[in-house]
Amino acid sequence: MFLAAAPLAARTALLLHLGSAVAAGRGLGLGWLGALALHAADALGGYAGAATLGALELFALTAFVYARARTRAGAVLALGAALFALLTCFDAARLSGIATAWLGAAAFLYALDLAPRRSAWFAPLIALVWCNASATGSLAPVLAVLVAFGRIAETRDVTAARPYWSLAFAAAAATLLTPAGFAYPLQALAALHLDPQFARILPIAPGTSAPHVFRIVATLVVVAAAWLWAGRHRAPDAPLVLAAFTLCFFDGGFVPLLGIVAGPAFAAAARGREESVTPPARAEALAAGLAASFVVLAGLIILPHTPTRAWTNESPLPLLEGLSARGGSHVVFCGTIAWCDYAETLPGLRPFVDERVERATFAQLQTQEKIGRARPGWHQALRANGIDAILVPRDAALAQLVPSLRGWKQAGSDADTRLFVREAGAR
Amino acid sequence: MRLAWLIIAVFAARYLVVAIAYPQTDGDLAWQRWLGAEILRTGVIPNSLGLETFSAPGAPWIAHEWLFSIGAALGRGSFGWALFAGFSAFCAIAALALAAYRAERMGASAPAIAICIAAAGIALFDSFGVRVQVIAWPLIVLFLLLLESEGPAAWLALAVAALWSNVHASAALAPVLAAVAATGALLDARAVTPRVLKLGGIALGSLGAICLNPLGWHLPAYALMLIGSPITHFIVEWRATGLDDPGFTFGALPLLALLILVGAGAGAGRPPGSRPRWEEILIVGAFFWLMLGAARNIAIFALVALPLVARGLTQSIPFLAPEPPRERPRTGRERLAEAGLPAFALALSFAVAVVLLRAQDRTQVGLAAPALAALQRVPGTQRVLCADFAWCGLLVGNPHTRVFLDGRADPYPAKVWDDFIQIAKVGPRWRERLDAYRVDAVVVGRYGPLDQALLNARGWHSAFADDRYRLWLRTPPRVAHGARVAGRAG
Repeated sequence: MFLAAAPLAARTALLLHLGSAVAAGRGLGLGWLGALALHAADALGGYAGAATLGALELFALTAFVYARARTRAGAVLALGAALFALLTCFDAARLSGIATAWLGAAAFLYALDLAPRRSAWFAPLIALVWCNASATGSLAPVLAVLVAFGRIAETRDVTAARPYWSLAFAAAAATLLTPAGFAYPLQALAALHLDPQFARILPIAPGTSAPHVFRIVATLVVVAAAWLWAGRHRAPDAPLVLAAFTLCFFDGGFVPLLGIVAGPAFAAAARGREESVTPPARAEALAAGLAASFVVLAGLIILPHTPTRAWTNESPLPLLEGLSARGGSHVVFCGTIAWCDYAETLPGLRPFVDERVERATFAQLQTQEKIGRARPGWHQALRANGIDAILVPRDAALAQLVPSLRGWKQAGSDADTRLFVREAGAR
Repeated sequence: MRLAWLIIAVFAARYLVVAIAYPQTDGDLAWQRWLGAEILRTGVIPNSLGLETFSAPGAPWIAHEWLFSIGAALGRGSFGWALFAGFSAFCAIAALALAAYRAERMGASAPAIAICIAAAGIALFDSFGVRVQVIAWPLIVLFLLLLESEGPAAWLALAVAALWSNVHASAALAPVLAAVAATGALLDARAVTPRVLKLGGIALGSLGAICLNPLGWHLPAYALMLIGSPITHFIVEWRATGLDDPGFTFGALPLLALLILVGAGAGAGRPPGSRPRWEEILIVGAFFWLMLGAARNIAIFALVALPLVARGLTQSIPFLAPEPPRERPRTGRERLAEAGLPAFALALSFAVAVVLLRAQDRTQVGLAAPALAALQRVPGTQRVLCADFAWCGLLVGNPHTRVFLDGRADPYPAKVWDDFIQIAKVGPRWRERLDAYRVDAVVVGRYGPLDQALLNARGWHSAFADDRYRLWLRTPPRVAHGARVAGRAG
């Protein structure tokens, strides 16, 4: 599943991060390093190369979660934590390389756990790479601060957090060392789509963007927190888990972060409750490993295997290629915003808004919503913004309303999509 | 508990005012009144849709709201309405009070309960109204309260389940909840104890209890059918819960945040720092699962989670720990403060009521009432489609109108729903479907997609329009026919 999904994620990520312009204006690619790595893997090994990179990233992410949990809770519980993290990544494999992004979070938290040893100073270095690989890197200092608060709550001693403050400060400084410079934190936070206005035009609600695992993961977290966290065992990780849990309701893309922070936290809490239990024998660990393998296998069998066209958002690519081949320049409106990522890469086409919505102005986002939902004034908005090509799902109201507009005609269609263009000279 | 009563008093004012002074926030009450009147007139609960609809007459219908509908029919007059709507508000208040009592029994302190009541009260806002599910809220909490009893009182849960099944189809949850509690008790004891057997017995007994209503076994069968029904995708209240639900964001989510921060506290009779009972945790987990699946469950999740969160707060935050027993007599100032609290609660609830009464528009504009009134003035019998099917609930039972789809929602076949969605959302072939059903009146939101589509469609004319709604009528064929005849004659 993950192997199959990786190249799709790679392809989308490439389009997202290496595209040079949108109607919203030019900007720096916040995930340039991640996109470059995917591009290199794709160039070197094609499908297999990108798939291998995706699988390696997921393996590394799981390994960091395992290592973090193992020092707190032993091998068996750590295995459970790692499996839980893997489960949370299931939907993210199709979310524009977001699984790639969370590898940085797993590594950063692992390094933070090394404090107060010197090796904890790898954390800012990891933050530096993470920021250049993904906009989610902007969360590095926030995570460090939350860990600091957790330590204070655990020890009831403010000085216990001292190493984490300096690490948080260093991580914050690292976020400025990207091509975006001092603009990075604000640009990156915008790119996380935490502003509710993005949810009106992007399918980021957890039920939509993490349809297979969100409900399961969130319920497991609530049940585990309610049952496991009593006394001081809860203290060190509660702020982190709460932050990740809340972020999931803004955007299902944050579900992997919840797995990364909650897995080791609950493993530690479970261990804290069973402190009198002797460490597991090798045979027990082996049995746990086998059981875990069965769980993974069962998951692979049960969960969907074939990425659908909806997953890839590839549906209208031939229509866009046809439009590009007609020559001339077109401003394209996409009913499904992700489709416009492809428009970005084709000569003569300029998307009105693509998935980098954080670069669009508020007015553009409003216009996108107005046209997409056929709200009053949508056809005037088409004219005012120079839009001369519209790509919409067949079942959208817009697909039935555009033909009644004077000067517009259908230029192509497929099973799911209709493409309309404005005839030359039409006003 | 005094602090909790203060908060409950403020919410009570809010619920009472909203229930009595703002009677209709959705169209259900209209068809429920009609249903109640039909039951009172004929002495029979209808088991199929009648001629009030033209899209699915004869479709099987489980009218599980029959008891509430009789109440709605009887509560038409001003005094009757005050009683009926007031009872709905009373049920919401009772649910909060029972949840507070459950929290107190679990060992939560008064300030912790008050904090959680405030969050839960907000979580109830979105779903609250003179609505049948509100009547079921206290029954759910009471059922859980009885399940937790150690003595023979737990068997009273069966009576609650039976009563619940006469109020709302959510009673099908009763055996499931008892089974979940039995599983939890088994996990807690790691042995088949008398408590496990008792809860298992209640689960089995509940299966029978929820059939003790005029609909019999059809009620749980209907509830099971609804789980997999595609129509839930089309109903706003069944959509997945998210941050755009204020009741979740400002009510249930704060409760969840507290639960994640402090846990559920130690179970009854266990030392602080030890684990809670699985019996309690699994129930909360089940309701959280339900809440994520449908926004209509936000309120019941909050009511169920409240006691555990309050107990977790009590045991985790020293400031919220219960006060030790008083060793000295109260001072005069303390007595004054204690007496002043209820007075303050009353004053605050009065102030809330006055502000609410002044603040909101109490007309039925939100239900397309002006456009529907215009429709009543059109001669003949109309086949009506409302872009929001709830509006058509106001037309059910009207002798001059037959509706495409109305707030009864559940009995309409999936095919009718699909056609309705295609028309209302202007999907492909919307026009053909509109013609196939021979719809001759359409009530739409002004400038919505269907309004715009009809504006460009031939054969329709606007019969009424205001700022928010428009009524479209099919142009009579004789006009077109007359035109053709005139053309031929010329």
